[in-house]
Amino acid sequence: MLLWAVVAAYLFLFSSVVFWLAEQYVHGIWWNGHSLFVPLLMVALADRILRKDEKDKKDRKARAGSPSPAGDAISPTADTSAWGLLLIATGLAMVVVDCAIRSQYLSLFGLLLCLPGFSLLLLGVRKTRLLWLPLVLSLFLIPISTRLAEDIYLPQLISQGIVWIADLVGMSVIRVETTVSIASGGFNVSEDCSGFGGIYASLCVALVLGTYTHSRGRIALLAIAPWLLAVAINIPRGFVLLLGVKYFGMGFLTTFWHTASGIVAFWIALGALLLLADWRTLREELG
Amino acid sequence: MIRLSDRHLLVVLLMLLVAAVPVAAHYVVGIRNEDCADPAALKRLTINGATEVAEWKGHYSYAVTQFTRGDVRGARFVWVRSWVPQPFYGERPFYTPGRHTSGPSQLEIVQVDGVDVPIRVWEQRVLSNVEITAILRIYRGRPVADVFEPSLVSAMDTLFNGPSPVDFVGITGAGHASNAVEIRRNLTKWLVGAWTHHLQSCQSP
Repeated sequence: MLLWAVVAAYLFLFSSVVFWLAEQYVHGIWWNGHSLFVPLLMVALADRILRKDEKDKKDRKARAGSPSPAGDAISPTADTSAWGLLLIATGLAMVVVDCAIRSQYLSLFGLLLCLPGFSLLLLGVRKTRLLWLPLVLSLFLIPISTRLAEDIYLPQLISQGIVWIADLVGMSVIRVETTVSIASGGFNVSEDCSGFGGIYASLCVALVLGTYTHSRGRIALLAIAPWLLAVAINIPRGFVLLLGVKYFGMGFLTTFWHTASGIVAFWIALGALLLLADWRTLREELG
Repeated sequence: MIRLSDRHLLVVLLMLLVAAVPVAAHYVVGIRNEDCADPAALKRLTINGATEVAEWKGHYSYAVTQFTRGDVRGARFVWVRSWVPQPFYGERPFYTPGRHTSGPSQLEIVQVDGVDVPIRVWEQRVLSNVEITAILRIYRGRPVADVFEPSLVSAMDTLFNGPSPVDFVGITGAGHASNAVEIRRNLTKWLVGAWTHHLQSCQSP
């Protein structure tokens, strides 16, 4: 009963930021659409990790044929940490302050800070340590601004790449900053279109896959792949859009194909990341 | 079945209930600090011949109380009035009517009766054409370059008295690149007119 009262109060306190997050996630595939799947991934991973922990505990007990080892005997009540209270208090203070600032980000950081706090209080220190990956994944719930793309010169790189391909095939193209133009029209490689949202989503996937990988080389590849894939996929994608403008006119950019090309670009990146994954370790660790 | 500890739950519940008081006041009761004498007058946009003025419920309707858009001599404008300042933080807010606002911008300060009116301008040239977008933000009764800093400074006041609205005015004009200076001058002039209109509407009678 007390637990349900806490859950209800927690949901009430963070309902505003949850609605705001939902709005951010469904705003467009170019932004933070992938974050809709992050809570599902977090819950699924936490469920797997805790179930595996319980199973391992039972297996150890069965093998020993005697009372469980000292570590397993710790009950959640004995293992809880008062640091959880501090994390929750800080998270709640952030929500209260954000009533005034209405940044929503401060509330969101408060929400995220409460998660390990609740884990420490409800599940205990040992299980919270086990749950580090779902807790770290919660950072991918933060909607990022695609303006960051500008900081790493992604639109400039993609637009220059489109010009390189056009030069290779003998197509006459003019590039002014991030705007690529041909005789029949042109477009601006915006921050949204440059594939930055895809990098963010791919980093989330790469983190999960990299965690369940033994090979250091594979981990390094998974870390660098989201960045390389975004460039390698979005340059030809931009060129295809330019061909669309050439043969179908500027109206092509407002068709379904513009959006579809972005979705396909992400699916290709996702496929490449899954090819890099250590599937044996993944199966062993997560069943 | 995963066992959960209920050791600290009562303390946690008390903490949550204490935090719920200001949250309920702001989000459920919706305390507000209206600083404009006649907010309805803001909608009556007749600045420099604005036409086809219409109210519009946009995507961000949850945060917006008044959303007006229209044309003024071929330029498109939006006037947004919101109790939620967050969409107006930073250099480039969400509501800009123009498409080309991803590049670098310039901050132009115009003096109007001793008040600095900061106007942010984006100028994007595509071949022989130019698209110019200019925006103005008004918060707590004065024009501001960014809403974030003043909202931080007034955070305590807002916590106890409720939020003040943000007025955001953005206008976009396009034309031949050779007319860029004139287009920019007209847009800036219109925004200065929007500030004067705001001042007249919101001053106490």
